[in-house]
Amino acid sequence: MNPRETHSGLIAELPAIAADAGRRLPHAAVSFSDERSMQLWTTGSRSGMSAPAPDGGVVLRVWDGAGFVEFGTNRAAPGDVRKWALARAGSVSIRGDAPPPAPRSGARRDFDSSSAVPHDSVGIERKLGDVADLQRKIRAIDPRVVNARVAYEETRVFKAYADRDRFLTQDLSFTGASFIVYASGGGRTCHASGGNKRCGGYEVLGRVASDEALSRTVGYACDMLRAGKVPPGMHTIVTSPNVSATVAHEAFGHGVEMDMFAKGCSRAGEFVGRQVASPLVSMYDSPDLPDSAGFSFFDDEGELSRTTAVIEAGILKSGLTDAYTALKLGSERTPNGRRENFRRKVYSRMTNTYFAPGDRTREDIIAMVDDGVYLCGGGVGMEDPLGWGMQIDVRLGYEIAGGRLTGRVYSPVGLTGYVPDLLRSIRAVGSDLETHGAGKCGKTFRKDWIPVGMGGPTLLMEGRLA
Amino acid sequence: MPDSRDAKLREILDVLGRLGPRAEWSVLSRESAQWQVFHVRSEMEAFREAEDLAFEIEIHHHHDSPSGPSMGTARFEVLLSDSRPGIEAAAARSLYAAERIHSRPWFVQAPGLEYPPVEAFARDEASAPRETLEAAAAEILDAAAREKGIDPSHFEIVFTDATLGLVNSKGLSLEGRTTSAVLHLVLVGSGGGARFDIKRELYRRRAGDFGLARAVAEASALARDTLRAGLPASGTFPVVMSHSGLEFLFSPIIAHAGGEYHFEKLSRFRAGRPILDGDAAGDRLTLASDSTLPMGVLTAPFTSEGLPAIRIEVVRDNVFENVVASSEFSHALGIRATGPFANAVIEPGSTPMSAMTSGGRLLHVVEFSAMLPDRMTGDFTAEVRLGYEIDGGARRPVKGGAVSGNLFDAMRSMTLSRETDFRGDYFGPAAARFEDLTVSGA
Repeated sequence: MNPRETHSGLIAELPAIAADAGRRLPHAAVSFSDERSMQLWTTGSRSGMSAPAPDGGVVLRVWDGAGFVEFGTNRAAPGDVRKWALARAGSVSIRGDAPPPAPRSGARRDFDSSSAVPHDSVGIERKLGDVADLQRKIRAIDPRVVNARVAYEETRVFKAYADRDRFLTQDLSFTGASFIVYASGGGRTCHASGGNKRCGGYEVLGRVASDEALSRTVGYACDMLRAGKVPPGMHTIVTSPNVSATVAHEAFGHGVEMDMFAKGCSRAGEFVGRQVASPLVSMYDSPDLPDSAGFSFFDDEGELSRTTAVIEAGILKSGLTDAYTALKLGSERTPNGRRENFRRKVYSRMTNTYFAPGDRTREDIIAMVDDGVYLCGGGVGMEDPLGWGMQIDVRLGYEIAGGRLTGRVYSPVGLTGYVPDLLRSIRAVGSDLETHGAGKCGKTFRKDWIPVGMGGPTLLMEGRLA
Repeated sequence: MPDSRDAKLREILDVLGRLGPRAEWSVLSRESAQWQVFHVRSEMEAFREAEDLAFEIEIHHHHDSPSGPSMGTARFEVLLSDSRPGIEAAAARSLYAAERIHSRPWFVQAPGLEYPPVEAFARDEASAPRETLEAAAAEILDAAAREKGIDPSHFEIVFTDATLGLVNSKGLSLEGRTTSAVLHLVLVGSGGGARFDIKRELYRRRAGDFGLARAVAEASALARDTLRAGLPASGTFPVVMSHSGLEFLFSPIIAHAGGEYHFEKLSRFRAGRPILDGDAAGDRLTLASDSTLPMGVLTAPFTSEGLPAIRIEVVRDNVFENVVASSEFSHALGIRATGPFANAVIEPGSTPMSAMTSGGRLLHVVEFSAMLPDRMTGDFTAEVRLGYEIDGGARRPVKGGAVSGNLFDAMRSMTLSRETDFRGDYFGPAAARFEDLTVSGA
């Protein structure tokens, strides 16, 4: 299925619909999306095929002189979208005289992500076989593995956006794999998870489910069987790229989504232009990071993708904006206006957020630690933009003594603390930048889930563990 | 737009009816209208309406494989904009995949079951959804205006009126209507040059169940206390949890009670056996999965498989009673199908909260950043957003640091409060006390 062809009639009509809907209103935009996913999974004894995130619909957005009014639908038949949009636009009353977002330079562009091996060119049988092979590989790595669930996911996202200035379309393909490994021993059963997602076709599968990634996940699950509890308190810590990425995203990234500045809910708003991290630290948000899970050519408000420097040499340079936030704060617009789907509103959101690499190897950094903990195995976190507290649940910690890993293991490990203290304590930055993006990110609460990428290199810092 | 829904459903059924005698199928239609209001303080930032119609289709193919009678399952979704050729192509691809998947067989639900009525639809609010949102927004702003030093930073309210339909190849045909109301509220307390936010996320079947005046007053008090809070002391203490976190703390119990964990031999529970190792002092857990709980968020007239609403006791006095299982796992395990775990209903204890938070030194946590226990092991670590260190008559607000432990160990010395709380998908004790949890603080 080629969405650009399937929906060609509706797509061609979008600029005219936006123009007609905006005749008596200061601003109108129309966007259309069609997102289809297919997932194949197996546990060895059970398998299945599902469509986990199908979505698609139309959004009409108008400015009523005070804010945006939006209507979203997937119930209008393609030939009825114009009628639906004009009826909805006609129902809007003007509330004020505030000007809408300023006009942008015009653009008419069609974008496509490249796929060396398009999803449609590979048969279901081969995909099922590859997923089963991955599951068997995991089971064969270690006899303590008692169960493993492997899932393959392919997603095609088509988006079109039209307003008085712009008419843009993009057709993106993503491929991901995830695996959960269960290991048993000594009366315990533990599990570790791995996986990744990247922009691209079937050729990506070998990268997101590499032998090294499978072995590493099995190693984590087996090491957890002999793990103890970390001594609670402040520690010198070395974070693996995976954990550094979670720090970038959860501890700092959410706090620079500038709608939170407008709501008085972020401390970062007070620190623009000031030191918030060690001079060794730089952090960026790049929707156009090649192959990334949060890749796009433009955001859901038609803003073309480009990199935003969030932190450079420890100084907070800029936050991330959507159109409404930039208008309210008088801030520069960045390409971060994103929505979950036609049912939900746009917010300021991260895309691919990462700490820039330094020049140290992981071994160099571990050798710098006399007494500390190496954190790895991934983690999940919770942001706290106003309190600048943080909670990251890390799967594993390995004791470091005398610059070497001792073999002693801790699990799980909670990393908490005051974010600026943590970032200012960074003493070394690795050269081993890795990005990943297997999951989705929610906004403030458990809602508005969007795909993002996050990344970082090995970092050396001080943190509170529990 | 029932006409367009019915027309598309007929088109789908016509395609599925040609799949052949070895195929079973079901079509779940979800049709909803949604109203959303977004406020930044008293200013309405945005208002949205969204209407949604989607069909989730599941195809099962029964066949023989080297391991004996097998079945493959494949799912896909149809939108109103999908053409007939597009539906046919998706169905053919799914059938092709299902023919090549060899799982244990089970069967779609046949008609003939009794479906008890449930309360999951707020008729009065559904008749005036925009007015419902406007009234709730006004109530929040009024309540916040009464609170000194509190800024109603932002809030969002979403009201949904949804109709769920299920049709399958055995002739089952069901339809039910539900409403839901969701509030996301952030209040910011300020004083002495500091600011701190308290978040409230409420899921209910009707906006009238939010209890907005109480929620705002309670959150405001917590925000003010947070402004003067310091780090908790480190050590091992009794910890009382209330207000937030408790509904998530028991998620490992729910996971181990589920059909998937039993089928995959990952569950630590056996029917008729205690859920905890060794002796347990204190209150014993009695937990039910209840999809009949009036106005529970997970209350529904039927499951996505067509199973009726049911209340099933999962744990009684710390002894495991029943596996909660979908049709797939119930066939494999030879047990009754219940559907997925619904609202968690826990029997309260006999101890008043005032007694649980008095006595020797303890930490009473009212707000965690996130309580996310490891569902397999029961291990948890959660940052304290607000708590109180209590020592005799002294009560000091604390924030930062973390509480860690293991649910299955902690439950051996658990006290459940006499007071109960309804939190959308949880009805049970308002607080629980655990005697020996690790606190990592100053």
